[in-house]
Amino acid sequence: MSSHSLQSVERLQSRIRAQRQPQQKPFWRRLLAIASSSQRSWHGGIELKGYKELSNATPVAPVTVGQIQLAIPLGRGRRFVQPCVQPGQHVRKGEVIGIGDDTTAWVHASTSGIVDRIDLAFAADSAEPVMAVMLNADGLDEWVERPLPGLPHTPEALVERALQMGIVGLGGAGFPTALKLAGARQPDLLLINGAECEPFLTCDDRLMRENAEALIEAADYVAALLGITATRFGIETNKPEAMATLRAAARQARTRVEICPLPERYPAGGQPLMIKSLSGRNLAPGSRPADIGVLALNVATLYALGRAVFQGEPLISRVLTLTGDCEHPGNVRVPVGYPVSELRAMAGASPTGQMTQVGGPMMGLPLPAANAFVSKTSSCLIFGAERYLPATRPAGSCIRCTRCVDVCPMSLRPLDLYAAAERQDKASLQQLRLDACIECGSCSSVCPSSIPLRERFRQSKTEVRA
Amino acid sequence: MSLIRHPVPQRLRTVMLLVVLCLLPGTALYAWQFGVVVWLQTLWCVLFALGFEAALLRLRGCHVREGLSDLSWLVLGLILARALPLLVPLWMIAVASFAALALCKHASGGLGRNRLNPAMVGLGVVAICFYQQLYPAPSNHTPWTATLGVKTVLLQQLQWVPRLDLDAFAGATQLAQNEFTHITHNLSGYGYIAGGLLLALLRVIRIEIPLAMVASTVLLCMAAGHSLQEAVYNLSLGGYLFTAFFIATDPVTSPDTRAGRILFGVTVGTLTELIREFGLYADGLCFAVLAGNLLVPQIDRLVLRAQRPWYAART
Repeated sequence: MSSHSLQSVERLQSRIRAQRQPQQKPFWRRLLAIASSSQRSWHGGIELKGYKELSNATPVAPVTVGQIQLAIPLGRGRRFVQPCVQPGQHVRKGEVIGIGDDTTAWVHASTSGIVDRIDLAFAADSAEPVMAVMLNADGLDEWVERPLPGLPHTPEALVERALQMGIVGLGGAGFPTALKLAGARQPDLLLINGAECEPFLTCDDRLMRENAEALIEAADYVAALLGITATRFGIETNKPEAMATLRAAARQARTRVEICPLPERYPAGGQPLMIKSLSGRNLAPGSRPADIGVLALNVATLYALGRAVFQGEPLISRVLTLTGDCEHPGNVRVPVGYPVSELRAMAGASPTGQMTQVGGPMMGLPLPAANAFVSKTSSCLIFGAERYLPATRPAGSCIRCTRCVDVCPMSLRPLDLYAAAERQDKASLQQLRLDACIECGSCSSVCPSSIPLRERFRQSKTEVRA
Repeated sequence: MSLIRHPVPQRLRTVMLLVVLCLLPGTALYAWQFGVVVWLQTLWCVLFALGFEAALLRLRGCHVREGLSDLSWLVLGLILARALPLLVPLWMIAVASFAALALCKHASGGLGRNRLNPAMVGLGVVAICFYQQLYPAPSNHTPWTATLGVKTVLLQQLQWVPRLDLDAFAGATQLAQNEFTHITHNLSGYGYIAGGLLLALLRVIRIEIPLAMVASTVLLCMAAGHSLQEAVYNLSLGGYLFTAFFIATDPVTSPDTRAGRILFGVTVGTLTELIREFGLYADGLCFAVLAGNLLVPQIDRLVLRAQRPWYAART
């Protein structure tokens, strides 16, 4: 036997040991874990009211596109694609309308129609207007010819497919999935995030209940292609139906995909916390899951990736939760670029005079403009949000009650961080680990003085980087 | 509407009101034993606290009504009233209130920025400056003020009549002293324990501070050669329980982390016992708390260095 193969065996053994180690807790820790009601590997977080029952009872309804104008965003943040269509040009559903470089996911027409112009428009989940292709839908919704593509047989081919099919992270960050796949250097663990820890959101729940087989198939495929040995779905315990359906699907497919419960505690779906709960590995601040051998995908992203791989279908629609103060709450499969005003009418919410929250109540933002449109990363619309969200009050003085320290899932000291941020003391901010903050907003929501801690930390993060 | 499933008191004013409510049982029991003087002293303290707070807010150019709306002055007045010995003259109450609010709270930059507990600063200043007048009680063991009426107390506080002949009181109650068993003497302590536990349940104060304080004092007292009964009796003296539940637990002047708070409680408890055992002052609580307050940043830094968050653990 050559020394080379011996080395690789040793490496494999040490990797297996590293994987098992965190589960072997000391005896007294295990006793404590039995005594406590939930087995958690991290501290803090808050128990939130779910409001899931408002929208999780009905199946996902498709949206039929009439003769309206859509605004399809050409990117997000700093990643934008070059539009490859002219005003007046006729496009069909699924046709490429924006081609990106190696780091930007392509953009496709989400229905058939005529390109009106390329202009700035408000995406539902961004405060600033973004460049978008304004498309006058013809109401026919006819597909472009899709020759059934062969399965990608190498990781490189999968990366290319994900990029060209416009797959981005649907959990909220909108990071191109192709880059995540390309950056994963020999991962050994695939973690699928179905936590959906934010209140009100049920889009991932419905997706898992209705498309369990497709999800398992996609997970198996990705794992096999990348040489991943273990696949785990993490689902909060408040979604027993989704867990049961996925378990049944995994059993039927005879795969070793594990369906693991996550604690019903915000923010259980935050990336470092999800990874800690599911694998015991520690995602240090500033490092990526790939650095610890983990590939983490959101369930909706995995589903879109599966559609792209098996059906050759680009990411042109997503499941969106319509909830809050409306007559017909529920989930809809909505084409990207669909106007929010139409969805509001569809849900039967009162057209004006209400605040609409986009995304969850914790991480989301209020709707930036009435004429905003759905982007790939908009997950939820809460109509009449002021009825459910805590009222905003003017900030008072910190009395150091340390509730923020209790709830911080990253074991930070928000009150000291805030004081350091006010002093603009960069050394202290670093020492207090500002970079570990995941901006979940738990601290802001428990502060009796209503101090906007999360917003301050967001601001200081950019200041520290500058 | 709060999204949190088990909401804790959501507003600063609610937190302060809860502290006031939980202080009342102990104060009422104390007044029941020691007479009307307790209520009069409380009234004066609250009035002075309100006046100084309003004046200082004005002086600092803050919005006075907004500043008063957090009710922190009410809590300070009630705590100071109970921290000062009974039947102190009115000017001394004024000096203590001024020291607490002007020297400690507002000189540090307002609510939440003081490193020392304001009530303890107020008491500490008068305790150092006017030690002779401050502790006139012939004996801590007897409710010697119980028989004084409103008029007598007022005249005494305003110092319009000569001071009461305390020796006469002492003489009169010397014989009765033994009739006050430990249980009758410590009535107000039960009220403070009840109020403190309620506050701990409501997550307004942290129970680890009084627990660590009481435990360290009792253990040290026993280590110094006293019996367990004596050690526990020690807790009933000089407002120890009141300090443990309502003063040392002040969130502004206690550490951020649980480990830090335990360390802080042990520091205060140990210092109290040391001063009581060997010190010059009759009661070391005030100085123990102030010393503990001064150590808080060091304790915080120590804990920050010693505790690694879960994601930084070496695996």
